[in-house]
Amino acid sequence: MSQKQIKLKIFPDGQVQAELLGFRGKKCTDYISVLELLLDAEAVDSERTPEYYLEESVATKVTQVQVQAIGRG
Amino acid sequence: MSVSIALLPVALAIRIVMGKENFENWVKAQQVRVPSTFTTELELARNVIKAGYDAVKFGSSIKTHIDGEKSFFFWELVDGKWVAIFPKYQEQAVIDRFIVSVESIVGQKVFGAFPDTTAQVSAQFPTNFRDGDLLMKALREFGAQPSLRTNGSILCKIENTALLFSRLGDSPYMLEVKNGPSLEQVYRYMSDIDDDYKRCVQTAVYEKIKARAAARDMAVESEEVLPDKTILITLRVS
Repeated sequence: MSQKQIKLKIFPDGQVQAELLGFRGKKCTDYISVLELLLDAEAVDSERTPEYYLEESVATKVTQVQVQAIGRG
Repeated sequence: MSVSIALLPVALAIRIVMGKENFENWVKAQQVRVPSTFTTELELARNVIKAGYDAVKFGSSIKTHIDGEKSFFFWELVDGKWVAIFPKYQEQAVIDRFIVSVESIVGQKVFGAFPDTTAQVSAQFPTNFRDGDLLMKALREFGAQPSLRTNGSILCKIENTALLFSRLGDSPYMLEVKNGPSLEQVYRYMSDIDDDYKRCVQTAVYEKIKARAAARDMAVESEEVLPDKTILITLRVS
């Protein structure tokens, strides 16, 4: 399992950009509220990178295969 | 990487852009605050959208475009009621059209009376400041010798110009200028104070990360200051 990291850039104008690395799928978005509490800040924008969709797609395929297997009994 | 997130510290409002070339915009940014009867975000958004406008969450405020993409205003929650904060330069007919549209959807009067701005003897301007402690610190660093008044407003004096920072509820501070030598001069002060305040916010955010990371199962792996003064911190999450 890859190491989870958060890269935080605190700009001189006080705004913050966070990049989440090594998180899988929706765990990334779960961390938005953690960061809001950590920084006393509010998320104003978030952008999912292609890796996010890749991971979600893999997870969806796995779930579909499991459902099919159960359906076949 | 899976997600990139932009965060705005609650101490900071992004209402105005300071800087040498933005004086005209700052002067135009004087505001007219009109209270509404809306008490919840949902009630506000539902009715404004039904009236044909938008209502986009923007930090703790809500942003509504009023006349095309470039013209917008903010809503702020003050004492449990949402207040529409129109820029003073906004054409009155456009505001009237918006008010009529929203009130016809709601089926009753929503907006309070417009404040009488003709009797104003001093100039009031929006600021990006939300945190009183950080503002006091920034003003002290600027050498403005601020004093905190009993009503929570902050008064300081720079070269015989009195600057009064006051706020309603949790909304960002408004600046009232009395005996200003000229708006250009006041604007130069404000640009410098705005820079100092933002630096204070940057430092405060950095200190919070250092103090709080461990309690959230995070450890600071590395930190550095980039050439543009941006602080880059890498946290390892266990």
